[in-house]
Amino acid sequence: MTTHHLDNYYARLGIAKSAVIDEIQHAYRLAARKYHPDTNQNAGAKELFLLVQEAYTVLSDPDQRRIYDATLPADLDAPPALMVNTLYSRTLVTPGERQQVIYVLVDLTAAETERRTESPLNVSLVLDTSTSMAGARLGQVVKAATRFLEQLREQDLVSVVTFNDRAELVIPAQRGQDLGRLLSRISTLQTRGGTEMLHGLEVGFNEVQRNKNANSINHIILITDGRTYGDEEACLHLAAQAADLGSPISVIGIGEGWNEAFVDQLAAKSGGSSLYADRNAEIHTLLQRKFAGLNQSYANNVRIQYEPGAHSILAYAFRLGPDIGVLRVESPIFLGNVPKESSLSVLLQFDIDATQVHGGEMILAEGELHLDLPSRAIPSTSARFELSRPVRSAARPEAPAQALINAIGKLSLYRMQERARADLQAGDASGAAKRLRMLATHLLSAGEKSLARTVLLAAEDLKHSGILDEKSGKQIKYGTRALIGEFGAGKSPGKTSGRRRTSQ
Amino acid sequence: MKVTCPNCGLEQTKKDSFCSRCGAKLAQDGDGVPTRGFASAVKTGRLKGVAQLPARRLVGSLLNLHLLRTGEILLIGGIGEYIIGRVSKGQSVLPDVDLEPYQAYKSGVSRLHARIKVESQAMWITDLGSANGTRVNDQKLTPHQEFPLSNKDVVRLGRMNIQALVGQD
Repeated sequence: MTTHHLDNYYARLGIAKSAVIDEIQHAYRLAARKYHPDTNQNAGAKELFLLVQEAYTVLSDPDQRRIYDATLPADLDAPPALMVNTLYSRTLVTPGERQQVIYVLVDLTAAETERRTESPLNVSLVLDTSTSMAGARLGQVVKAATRFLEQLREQDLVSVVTFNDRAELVIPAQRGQDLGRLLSRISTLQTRGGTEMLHGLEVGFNEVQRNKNANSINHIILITDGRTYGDEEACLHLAAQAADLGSPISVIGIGEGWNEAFVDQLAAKSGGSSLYADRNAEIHTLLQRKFAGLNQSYANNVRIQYEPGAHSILAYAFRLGPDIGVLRVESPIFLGNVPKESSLSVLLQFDIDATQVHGGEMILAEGELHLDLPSRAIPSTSARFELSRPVRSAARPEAPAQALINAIGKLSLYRMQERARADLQAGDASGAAKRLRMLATHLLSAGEKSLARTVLLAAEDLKHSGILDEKSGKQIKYGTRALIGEFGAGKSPGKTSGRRRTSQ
Repeated sequence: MKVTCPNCGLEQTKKDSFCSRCGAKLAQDGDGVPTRGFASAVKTGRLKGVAQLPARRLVGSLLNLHLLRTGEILLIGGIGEYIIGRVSKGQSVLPDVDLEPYQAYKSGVSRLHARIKVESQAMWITDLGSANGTRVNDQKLTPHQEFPLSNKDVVRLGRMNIQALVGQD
């Protein structure tokens, strides 16, 4: 039984089934503006544009629309104000085959033009002030934080928390504070002691929690260069709690000492993202990017609650944009936010077993898509969805959409690095070194000389010493991740549009 | 004066003839131009004023292989030559692309089955005298003879169907 295909003509245009012709035309014009190959140079945009085009052709013709409507279930859910476009790597599941893979690209794009009223930010900056941060590093963090505070608008609320052995609320979230005084407050930060993340996160979380309202964009931004000891479990627990309450945690890691596996997990669990600054000077750029990203947010806390189909497993989930990163595969999956100008695009890999299935429709996953639209009077909204494919032998081989090929191709470099790490963890250092050498070959043939060199050196070291050096490990991980690059509809988040806050 | 070991990358003083860590021979003045010197000069733009490649971007087109039975997509790479086959025990010459994890033996893929050459404007496939032959869109290839390969062509190695897909930046 097909009930709520995520892919239907109404969802593609982001309109309700009851939409009148004016609404359809309006939605189409907006979609065309976002996806048209003339304005959108991204490799995947052309195919998404064709999907929208197809939907419009049918829905704008009353006769065709009537015929199409009859094929849809009566209680069709469409996520409001969001264009949902889905690309599958294959149209059919081959009956009787055991190990099959289907990649699904889900693209969520804002279906409304930007509103005048901008949602207020409710952000907590949680800064590591342990001894390792001393000197230029803390200087750069303060510089970045200063710029951040200067850009705030009147409606925004920001608190600053520092942590080492204990946490301190340096600037509580409050409106109408004197900017000069705030800046002098953070310019005198001192470093001391170790890194105990949990306390800092707790204080930041409480501040965000205390000040959140239905329309605010809540976020905790952690900047650290170290690893926390003993409280990882508690931190992850807090991340899960933060995710449930709609306050994602994003992390900017500096240098080589921080625990990136833990941080990636923290970000994925809470719906945030992780960013890597290999030089101190990058802290500022990354924080700016985060700020712009938050300001550009159209829908927040996008999450998928799902049940896998009887013969299917969600093997891998990856966010291609706006922030690149691995997502968790357990339900609920926290996807982060949909930006106003570009789109949220996610690549899912389903492993399926069709030995028992010989016809009909195979369900890959079904569930609900939840999201918050802060510009709405009632922000929280949801829609049911289903990802499924008919089971039938293909008459002739089909090629997946170009957008998918590009995404999977680039992602595979990152995954090669992941597999090398998994090998290493399983105690197979020579296997890991072999994989890294393979990765280097691919990087070379792709023209990425310097990264290939780093990988090759790391592979040599790994072969001799059996250890993957922390720094090159991070460079490889985030280097291959950066290669995946901007993808899908829209451009990279542009310059921040935030107005300077006037200090009274 | 420092010199970097071409093998392990360790920096050392130039008067050494061999790397103190891995023992590789270090380049000395008067060693002449390395074999790949010309190509790298072209790529880095020292010749003809070719622009430097932008960092952090994959350049050009990348070949992917789409395994039609399972739907998996494997990245192969950009310009270069790739030998497709499977790895089995005690084999001395290894293929660049190992299809063994995808039931290559059962599907009759030879250890060194075919070679795909990716150039900037074209792709070529050569059957390497495989036991069960290679077909492109149902046309059987003459062993050791280059055959043009296009995007979305279906290549049949023994009984395994794969599709050549070009990913663009």
